[in-house]
Amino acid sequence: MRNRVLFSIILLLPLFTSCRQEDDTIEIVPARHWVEKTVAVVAPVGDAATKTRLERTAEWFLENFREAQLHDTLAIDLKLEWHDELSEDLEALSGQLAGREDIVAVIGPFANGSVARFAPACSKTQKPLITPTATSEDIIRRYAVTTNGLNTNAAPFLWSLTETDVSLAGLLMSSFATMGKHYSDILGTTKAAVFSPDDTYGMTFNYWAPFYALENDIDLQRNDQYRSLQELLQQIADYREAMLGQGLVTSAIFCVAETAQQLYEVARANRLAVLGDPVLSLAFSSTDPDDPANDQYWQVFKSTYNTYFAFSALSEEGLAALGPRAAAILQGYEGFSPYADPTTGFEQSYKTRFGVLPTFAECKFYDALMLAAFATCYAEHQRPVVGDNIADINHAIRTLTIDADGASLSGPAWNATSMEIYLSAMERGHLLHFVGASGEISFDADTYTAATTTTYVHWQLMDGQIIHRSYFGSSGVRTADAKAAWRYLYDQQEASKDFEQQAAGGTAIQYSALADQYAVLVQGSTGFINYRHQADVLSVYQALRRGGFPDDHIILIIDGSIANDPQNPEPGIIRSSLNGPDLLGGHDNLPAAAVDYDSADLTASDVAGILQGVGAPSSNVLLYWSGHGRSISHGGADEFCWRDTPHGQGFTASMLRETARQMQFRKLLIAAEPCYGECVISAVEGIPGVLAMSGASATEQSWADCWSNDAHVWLCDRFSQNLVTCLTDNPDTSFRDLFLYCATHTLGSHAKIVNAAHFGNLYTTGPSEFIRYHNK
Amino acid sequence: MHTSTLILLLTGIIAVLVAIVCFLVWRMARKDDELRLKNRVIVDEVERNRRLIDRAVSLGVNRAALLLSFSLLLVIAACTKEGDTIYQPDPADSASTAPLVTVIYDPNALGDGGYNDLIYQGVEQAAKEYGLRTMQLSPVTREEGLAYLQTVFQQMEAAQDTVRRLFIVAAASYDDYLRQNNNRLEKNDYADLLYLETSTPLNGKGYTLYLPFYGAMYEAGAVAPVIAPEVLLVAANPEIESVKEAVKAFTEGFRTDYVAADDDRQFVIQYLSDGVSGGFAVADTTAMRLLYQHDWQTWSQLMVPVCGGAGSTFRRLIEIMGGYDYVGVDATVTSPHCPFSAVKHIDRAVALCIGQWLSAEGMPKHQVLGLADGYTELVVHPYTNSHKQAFSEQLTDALRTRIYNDAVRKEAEHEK
Repeated sequence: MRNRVLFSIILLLPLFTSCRQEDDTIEIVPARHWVEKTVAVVAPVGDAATKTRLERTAEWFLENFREAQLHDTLAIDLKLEWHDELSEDLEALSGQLAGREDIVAVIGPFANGSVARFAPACSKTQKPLITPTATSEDIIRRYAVTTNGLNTNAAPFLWSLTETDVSLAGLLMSSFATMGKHYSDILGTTKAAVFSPDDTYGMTFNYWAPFYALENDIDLQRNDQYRSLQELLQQIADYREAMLGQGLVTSAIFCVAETAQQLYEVARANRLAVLGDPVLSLAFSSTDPDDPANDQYWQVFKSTYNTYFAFSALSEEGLAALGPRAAAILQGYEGFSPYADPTTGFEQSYKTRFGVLPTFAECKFYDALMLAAFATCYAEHQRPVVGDNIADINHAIRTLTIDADGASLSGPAWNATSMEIYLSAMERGHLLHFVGASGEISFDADTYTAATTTTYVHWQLMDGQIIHRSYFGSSGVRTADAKAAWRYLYDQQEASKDFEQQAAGGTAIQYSALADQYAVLVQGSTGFINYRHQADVLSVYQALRRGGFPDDHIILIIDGSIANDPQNPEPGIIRSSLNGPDLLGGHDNLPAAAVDYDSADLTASDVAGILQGVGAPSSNVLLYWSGHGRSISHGGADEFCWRDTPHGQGFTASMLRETARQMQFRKLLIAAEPCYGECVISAVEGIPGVLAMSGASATEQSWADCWSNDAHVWLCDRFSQNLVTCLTDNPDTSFRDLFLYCATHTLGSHAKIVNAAHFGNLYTTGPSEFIRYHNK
Repeated sequence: MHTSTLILLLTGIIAVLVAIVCFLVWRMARKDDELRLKNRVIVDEVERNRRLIDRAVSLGVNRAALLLSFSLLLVIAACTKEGDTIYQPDPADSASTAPLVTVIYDPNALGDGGYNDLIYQGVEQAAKEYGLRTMQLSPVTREEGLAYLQTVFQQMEAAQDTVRRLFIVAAASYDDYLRQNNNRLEKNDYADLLYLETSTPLNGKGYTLYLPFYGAMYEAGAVAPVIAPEVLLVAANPEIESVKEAVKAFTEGFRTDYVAADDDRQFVIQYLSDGVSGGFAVADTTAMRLLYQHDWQTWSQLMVPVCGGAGSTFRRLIEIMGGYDYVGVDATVTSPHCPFSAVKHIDRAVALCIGQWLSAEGMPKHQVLGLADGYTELVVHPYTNSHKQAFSEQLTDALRTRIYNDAVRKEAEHEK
């Protein structure tokens, strides 16, 4: 053996020595195969400060990513192609980038409105779109693959790295509620007002504020949207004025801001209000808000108006740009923003490296780069093994995040050393938990594209500096929530408690034998944009037909123009989900719907007349209504809107009460989808034999669901879909269980049930006698 | 073939080879810069390959297979000839050999806005100054932390390269494991261990650091009555030595009447847990109850959180609810509610240790850096006018010096 080794060495020696010639030239060759990949970044780089920040963040990432790959012979040379979100034509750019094969993914845009314009093109080509900071519930829900479990065949393409502002709206309210609850014995219910921009970003706060106010026992006095700074200041001034009239109360102003200037102006207006008060102003040396002599007293008076901001674009340079008085005027003001999980260390490393805190956008941008880079790396390494099919970035992102959800934990993988460990394991087929600069990167396993964990920071401004007071996780330290935030389900126990409160006193009532059953199904709205209301009504219609209802026992009232509207990509067809059946024309074992009335030919009073003509003393009647709603505080009247008519001309609460009194029925079940539905159905309180349910409380809007990119409309509503699903899956359910199902699955509003005490025992009776035809 | 013939043949070959070698030696003596560069590149490549092998082996790949592969690569890289061109890997495209500092924290400790974050900052600052690589591990559970610990020990034990590695254990949770396993690192001359904080040095390999807090907490207790006559001290548990020490020191300082005695003076100590590892996290509801259940006699109360991460919960609630001022413990806090802080400059201490580790002199086996050394101190930072006024009226420079001198003495006595 030893001889053989010796022999080998002797034979190899000339090989080594023979190549060492003086006239040899050395050519340096790469130590590994670098594969160039390009990611497009669409960011507000037209703003100089943002450009500086994002570029240095990108440079830092690329440096780390390069170093982390030096263990391998195959490495990704990631190139970034920058586009300015502020100056470029986003529709044209999105079409161009979505169609380019050399672009593996697009990161950005950063503003919610920009994402709304960018996403449709990427949706068509399935171009991976990684949005670092888009938080509008409306956008994410539209482009999430499935919103209600109905569209499971579609493929994900939009990856949102931040939870929607549903979570932030909840955090704003709940953090203040702690204080309100503590002082409630002395000061009564906490009062609050929410002011949000009237745009895609502000929409989420505006929609969800009533929901969280109810959840947190906060009396929401105002929920206003503003279109200009002046309007915002006026709205806040009006609220302050109203609060002064209410004596000593715990009240808060929640201001959703989009610019640092708005923070400054609101703070200054608060100061002016105090200085304008004849009593409070006595503490100050002058009534000039910019008098530095007043600054030292201001700490005491700030809390006169508890003002909390939701503001995500906070930066040192942004504050400095407000001028020399900004530090004093904004002294002590506080707010909340999505941010980075402090346990990743990114915030501190960034500060050590650059001397300032990273912005929310930078934290998420770093993660977006990581996601794009790691997915590209994964796809490139898998290509030789499983071919091109898997070499798809969307699939890779899903594999690294959703499929690796049960993987063993690892620390954050954002710096070079830990990134190397992550990539080494990944290349060997071992997926580790994906923890980036801002925390865990995970997406809802059902909806795919919605982030399930986000860390929020509670910030305060002191002496012009940004102080991070505390951090909040949507579901605890590095533990993933099971659902995307906009799929918020309220606790079963809470729902039961809610039911007990609303349905207390329901006892067995003796009814005559059931002789016949009727249903009146009404779409109160008009126009193609309200497609979903018609789909709701037709869903209930088909559920009744499945239950054996003959067509002549169902009165169907819908807008006859929607199905054949030129905007309908499938003329004559109405679906409640992307792949669902045609609910109007039938097919696939569904009967064609027989429309009794075109709503264009009726008024709300006509509908009342129709209802009064239906039924008999021994028959059950179901009234289902989908459409828009108003309340006295939101639109001028408590009513279900009737087509385009102004307020007061809809199906009002008093009209419902009068109609119900005059109708002949054994039992009457009312189910209502419209916003603020409770304020209308409450009108039947006290009428024997009537039970009413609504999808929203008197202060809440109800919610649409399932967006169609082809038709550009929502296809259904949440409460109605849950109602139909529950009745279809379990027609023998009790009223109690039906309510609990709808309450826990109807997201963004609180389902309500009215008049149980005059209807009967809801535990032992159920809706089957309204949806299953007994005489068949 | 006869053996003798074989021997002759081999002898002939060897003779030829010896001649070639002699020729080469002669050539080598005259070799120019280009050849020196070539040799250096080859040596670097061998070294790089060895590191790659080590890393791959640590990840579970067969060493023999890798050795063979890299040997062949080396041969090809060094000797493949296309005419007179030698192809060699880009030396600029090789992995970093900068020293690596790995830090592990107690479960969920990082991000506390205090002590642990200061350690993080100290390490990052040192990395920036000395060009180090870092990896900071913040486990979620003790089990995860132990898994990290085992992995890092295995890697440091098995490493065959000359990359310097410092493993900083900034956690008390793994004390048993650490003291049982530290000697495993003796196999690697390039691997070192720094355990902080402990007053008990490690037997065998490993450095230790300890920042006694007695003096700074004594000072905090001494000045507390300037702000409020009533004090609520919330401690994690009565079992951990550092907690007991802090509580004792603050109590002693508070009860030594440096400022005018007040009849309303009241001092309440509450523990969040009985267990040795408990009390470093607290639910909002519990914290609220602890803060607001007391029937205080005056309008001014001071809260002293000696409970690690749980302190941030108390601070947050006080910021929202008011009712208390609080003492910054470990780090200063910029807030109208926080007039002074007992600070541990653990960031500076860690950076110092790393600097020592990199220096020719090396790190002392065990270091104690306390109040007298400037690594702990009481920082008075009143924010509101009322606090500023209270300090200026009651805490004269002379009194401050007296308290400091007493604190230094007390700390020295305590450390004995």
